[in-house]
Amino acid sequence: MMRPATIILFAVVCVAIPWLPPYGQHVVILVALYGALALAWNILGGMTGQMSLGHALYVGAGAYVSTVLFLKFGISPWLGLLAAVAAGGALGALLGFTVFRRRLSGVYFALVTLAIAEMALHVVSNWSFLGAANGLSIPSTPGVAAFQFSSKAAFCYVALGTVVIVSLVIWAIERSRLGYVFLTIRENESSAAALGIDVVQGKVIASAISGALAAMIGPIYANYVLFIDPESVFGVTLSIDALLFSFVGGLHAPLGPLLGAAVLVPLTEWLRGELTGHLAGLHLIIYGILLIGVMRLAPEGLAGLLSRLTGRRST
Amino acid sequence: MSAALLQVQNVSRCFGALRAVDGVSFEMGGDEIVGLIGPNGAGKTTLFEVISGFLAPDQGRIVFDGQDITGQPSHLLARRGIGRTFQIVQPFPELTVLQNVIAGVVGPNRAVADPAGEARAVLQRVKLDHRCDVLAGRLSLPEKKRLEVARALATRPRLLLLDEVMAGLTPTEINEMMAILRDLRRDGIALLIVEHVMRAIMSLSDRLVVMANGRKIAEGTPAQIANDPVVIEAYLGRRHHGAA
Repeated sequence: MMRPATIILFAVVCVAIPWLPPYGQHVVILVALYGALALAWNILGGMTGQMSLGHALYVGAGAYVSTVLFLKFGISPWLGLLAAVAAGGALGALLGFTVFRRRLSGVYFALVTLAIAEMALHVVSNWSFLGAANGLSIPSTPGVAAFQFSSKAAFCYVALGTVVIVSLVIWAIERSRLGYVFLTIRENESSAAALGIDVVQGKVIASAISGALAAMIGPIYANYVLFIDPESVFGVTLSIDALLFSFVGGLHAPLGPLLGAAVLVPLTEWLRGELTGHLAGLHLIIYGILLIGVMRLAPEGLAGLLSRLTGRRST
Repeated sequence: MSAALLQVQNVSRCFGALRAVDGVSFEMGGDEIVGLIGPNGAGKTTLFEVISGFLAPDQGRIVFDGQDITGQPSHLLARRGIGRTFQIVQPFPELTVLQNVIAGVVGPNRAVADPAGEARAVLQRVKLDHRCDVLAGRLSLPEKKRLEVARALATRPRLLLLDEVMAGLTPTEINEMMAILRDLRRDGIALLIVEHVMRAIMSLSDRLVVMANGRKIAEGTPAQIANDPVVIEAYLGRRHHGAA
């Protein structure tokens, strides 16, 4: 019931993009990139039940890998994108292997991921080869070969492309044994193990896939903004956003995290624009109140609320 | 019984100073139903955890189908053919009944042409196929017990460890569960059963292994065990001290 509606909505957005004002296109890009990140986070967080507070690690690693390969070694950003995905997958696997083998989960897993992402932030901030705290600027050379596009509209399609890629990966996982591995680990690790499922291996795979897809966002963001610094791509706000959008949208709905981003990103942008002039920080307070409201009224997320409402209407 | 499916050899497991399982040995064949009984705290569940790989023994060996499996992790044992249920039912609450059982079908990571079809067939065997699309968390306790059996069954075990699958069931439900278990043995699955419902375990089991305070105190047919003075003392003697 949801699926055709989602596809139609997606098609409408795609068709409408050229007619949107630049700011509207900018918001579409943000929604798509944050949405793709939240969807990637949710493979580990929502499907497998391991709440990461450090997904900025992958975004940052991806952004820096492709940017450094381009700036220092002249390697095409398209190859850089592949390298970023590979690096994210390797980091995710390594982190997962280190942490899950020691049976760390729940709050402890969240804290370890937070600490590792913060460490990465500080290492990069002090590493002159990587531009240290000043960051790295990418010279503007519009052209598809340089992964830069003359129009914002073109970037919209690239950003929406990442959403499609992450969604397809999730769709494939859900239809395979791996989907059952992830879901049973989330639901009950002992029972999963009793059925022949290697719990540690399953979590490591989830971490690797989640990391690889999150790392894909980094190069695209970097080539859109043409500038990265440690705080913008390794910062903790990015990690929290990924988690928050997923929670608000719905952890257990396949596209819940995207819905969360589609609601919260424009809202944040709008509140910031409306209120910053008057009371700095007020937009964050309103944002917080809205979050509490959503958690209180729809603990299963907006996706759950939506299906409850549409279910009621059809009966 | 030259070709024993399961051999438990002098197995011990301690928790601190407590010897929960203390030098227990027994064997069972591939077509047997063996009951494991004993007063509360005798070490039955701990022995189950050791056989199914959830706990490593401090001492002793476990041989399954001629191979030493001591200390192997539970998921590998499940793939070898040791299925188990949990004393406190542990379904995947937010998955449907069918999904729970499909997880059992695909869990051991072997090629299955039609996981959903196989899962439905298993649910038919435990008479739960009418509840396929219900979330497992919404089932009643008797249904959850049957789901627990179905899920273990879906892994195609050769040995099934059943930990109190009749606890909390009504007499009618117990009869149904007994019929299900007899069918399983007919299909060539060996059963090792921990159970407090004496009527059921006495009539189901070919042999009984009796434990008390971590040790095996007796072994034999239900008739032999029912008249064994050591067993009677373990059960009644304990009750006498408890009242004092």
